[in-house]
Amino acid sequence: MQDCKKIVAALQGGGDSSDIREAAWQAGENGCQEAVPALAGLLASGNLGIQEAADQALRRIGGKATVEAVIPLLRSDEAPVRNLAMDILRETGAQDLPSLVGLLHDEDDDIRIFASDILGSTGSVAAVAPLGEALLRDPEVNVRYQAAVSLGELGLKDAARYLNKALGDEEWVQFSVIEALAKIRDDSSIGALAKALHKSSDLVASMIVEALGEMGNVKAVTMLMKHLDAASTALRNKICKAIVQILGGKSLKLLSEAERERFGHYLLVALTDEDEAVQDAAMTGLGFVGGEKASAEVLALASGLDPDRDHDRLVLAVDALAGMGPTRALELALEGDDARPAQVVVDVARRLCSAPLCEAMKSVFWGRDRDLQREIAQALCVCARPEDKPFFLEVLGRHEDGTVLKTALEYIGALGGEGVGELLFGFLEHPYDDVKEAALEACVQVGGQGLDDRFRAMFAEQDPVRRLMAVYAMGKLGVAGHVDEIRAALDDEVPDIRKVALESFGDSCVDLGQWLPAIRERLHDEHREVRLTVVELLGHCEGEELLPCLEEALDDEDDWVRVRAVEALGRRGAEAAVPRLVEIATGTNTLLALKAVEALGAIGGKTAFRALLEVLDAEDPELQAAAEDAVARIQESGEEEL
Amino acid sequence: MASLFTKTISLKKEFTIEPEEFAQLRDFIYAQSGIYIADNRKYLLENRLRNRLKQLNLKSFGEYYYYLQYDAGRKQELNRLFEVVTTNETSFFRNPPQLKVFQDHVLREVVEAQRKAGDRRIRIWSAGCSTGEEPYTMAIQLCEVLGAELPGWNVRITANDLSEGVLASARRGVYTEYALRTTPPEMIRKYFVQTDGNYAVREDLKKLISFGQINLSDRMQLKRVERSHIVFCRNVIIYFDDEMKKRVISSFYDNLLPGGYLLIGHSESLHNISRAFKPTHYPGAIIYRKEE
Ligand SMILES: C[S@@+](CC[C@H](N)C(=O)[O-])C[C@H]1O[C@@H](n2cnc3c(N)ncnc32)[C@H](O)[C@@H]1O
Repeated sequence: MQDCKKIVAALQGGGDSSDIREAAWQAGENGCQEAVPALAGLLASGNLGIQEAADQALRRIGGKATVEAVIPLLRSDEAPVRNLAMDILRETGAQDLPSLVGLLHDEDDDIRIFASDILGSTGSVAAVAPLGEALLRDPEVNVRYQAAVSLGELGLKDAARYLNKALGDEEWVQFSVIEALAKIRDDSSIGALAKALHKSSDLVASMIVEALGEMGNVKAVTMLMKHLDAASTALRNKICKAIVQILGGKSLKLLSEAERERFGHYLLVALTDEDEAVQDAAMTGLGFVGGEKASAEVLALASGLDPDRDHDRLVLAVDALAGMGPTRALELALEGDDARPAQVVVDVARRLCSAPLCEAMKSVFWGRDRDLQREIAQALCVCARPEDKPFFLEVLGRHEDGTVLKTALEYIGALGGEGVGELLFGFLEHPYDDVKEAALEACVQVGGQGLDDRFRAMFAEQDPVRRLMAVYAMGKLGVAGHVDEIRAALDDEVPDIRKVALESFGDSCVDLGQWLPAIRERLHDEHREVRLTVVELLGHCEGEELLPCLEEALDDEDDWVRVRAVEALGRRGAEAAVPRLVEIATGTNTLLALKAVEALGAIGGKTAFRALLEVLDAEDPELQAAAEDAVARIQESGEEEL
Repeated sequence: MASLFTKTISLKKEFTIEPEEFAQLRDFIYAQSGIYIADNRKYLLENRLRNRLKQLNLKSFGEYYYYLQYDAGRKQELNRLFEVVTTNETSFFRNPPQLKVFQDHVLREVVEAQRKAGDRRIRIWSAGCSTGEEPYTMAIQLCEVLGAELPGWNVRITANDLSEGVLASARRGVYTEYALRTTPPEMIRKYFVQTDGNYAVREDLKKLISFGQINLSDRMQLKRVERSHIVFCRNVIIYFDDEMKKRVISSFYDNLLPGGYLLIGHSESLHNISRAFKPTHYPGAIIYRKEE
């Protein structure tokens, strides 16, 4: 390429540094292979700016030429140049593996170390065997060490057989071998690691245990169990963690009674290990092995955790406590002065819903601070026990906190029953909107003639918020029972009310045909939101007679109303709308065209298909892609013989 | 009043971003600004955009992606999106130890060198200037160093940012007390005018700075910036992936005059990004210098 020639000339021309940098950048940008030797030469430049520009260009160009040009620099006497060469080869080396593999037989120890290192970054399966051979045969310990590290980095199963054999090497190499095996997780390594465990120093043993834990293979459990009694405390804690990691709680229940007891005892010790990961595993394990003492200790640990910073650990602790079930320790904590343990217990109680804990929560409720009260109310609401009704009625009568009140309303609404309607209705006058909303939902859930009448009366009131609530409730209670009110609401002066009135049809879609004239009128509402709601509704309900209305919405002034109409027509397979959709799909508004293309793909048929073929030539790539998908969709559905 | 009904049909479901949608948006944002949203910031994008989607009445993040490309309001929306994915956090005299080194060493050396060369020009570039606190701080420090000599010097601070919104505030130059929380009181007295509870930057400081929009991912745009003695780019490249960091830093290198200085944020580093600069360690700051 002419350009590249010029670039090479500029690289070698001895211009000022910014010219050379620009040339290097151009070389990279244009992928100039022929600039590679010149660029490699510049890596040794004394000017750091030039050096760096050459470095970046070489990485972008890559290829065999780059690898070959950079390898000789590994032998440079200057460390920065060597490091730079290494770094470039890590990124580009895979493009010429044989050259790198050849270096593994170099006479120079350092070069063999470098090559082992670089091969680890190539991601290539062809690097495994040469690295494996180096691991087992190289006379230099640092080469073997680096080969193991690199095999781990590659993370390929084929490496396991070399690494397993290398477990007998000296300790320095063992470290990297074990780490690599943990990354590779091959089943064949379990036995090898287990064997090595018996012959190892404490340090290596703990690495092996950790590796076995991470590998998660059940075959290791029996062997680890056997090791428990003889191990030092630190090692034993690690073994506990590994066992929990492998078995994952549940299968701990399958251990024999005696084994479980012994293990539970060790887990309690592990709970005090300084490593948080060990503590966490101990908590999880205790969640399945259980016991009064375990419950107390896990609770103590959990109470010391910070809900924000240690969120995940806290979840773990609560899981464990719930697993151990209701205990005396939990009840005592509820009565105690400390807020944290009590909060933890409430979290556990909402999971267990056991009678003693629920009763305890109620009995301490009024004496605790607002935050805990909110949580207790929540927990009791989740448990939804009928016998807590008097408690919640008292809350509704006495409490002033919005959040607590909402919870109580939710409980009562779900429970229902005689005589609560009056109470709930009263809360529609509460000053907080969210409390009103909760009361309204509760009223709808409870239902009944009494409430029904009240909402009807409420709709006649002046206050728009009251009318809005009434319409919402009547819609939920059934349009059929409130025909006149809903009809009036569709014409209300407040747009939100018109919108809510429309939405009241969405739940059941019944009798929509009969309402169509009134609904159709809303297609010309002055408010975009209301028009959108109509389209939403018509798209969501079934019925051939709704389709012409949707087509009408295609003429809306607002793009998104039209988008929703297009979508709805597509979803409903409206064949009659195809001509209009074709028009839109080939029109100038790309957003609408995209949606129309999708719709045509969904509807299918000859006309749609032909139109889509035309869109395949569209300029906009996004539109082209959409057309391809739509065409494929029609072809898949098999209706079109080509 | 509609707030009463958070659960109407159209708003019923909470948006979540699907993996393909996230990839689409991420690539789009990257192509537009060089800002790379890492996977672990996905939820952030989701949370910050969710309400926007509701306001626009869109049904999914995929639709938002369409909106950004095809809607009549896409230009403005892109600017909004930039506001969402960037953090404009800044203040006057942010990171005082670094600025002390800047004033006592970097500025004085540059001034001395220029004086010797008989060239009374000083050019500083604040890339990613946000609402202007950083370039105004530079201007104050220059006034401190040059003192009464200032009128005899030809000084220009070029201050750029991606976001038009922050540039508008920067040009206004009116700040709350909070923006001045690490500013020495005597500096406040000297360089600000109090106006009903707020602080306005003195007009003569404003004249030293020219604000303008720039997209750091646009190499050609960066090439057009006048060459500088000093480049400030603090707390900006954190949003970029390594590839983009390399390109931006390389452009700063090209922009700097020989012997020029680069200052980056204290939590940022050029490690694995560039070796071209010579780092000098001072108490509380590393200053990068281009060779003479
Ligand atoms: C956290 S502020 C830093 C402000 C100031 N430099 C400081 O350290 O206080 C980051 C600024 O970088 C800007 N920014 C992010 N990406 C950008 C880009 N691609 N081009 C230009 N500015 C960008 C953002 O708009 C934001 O104002």
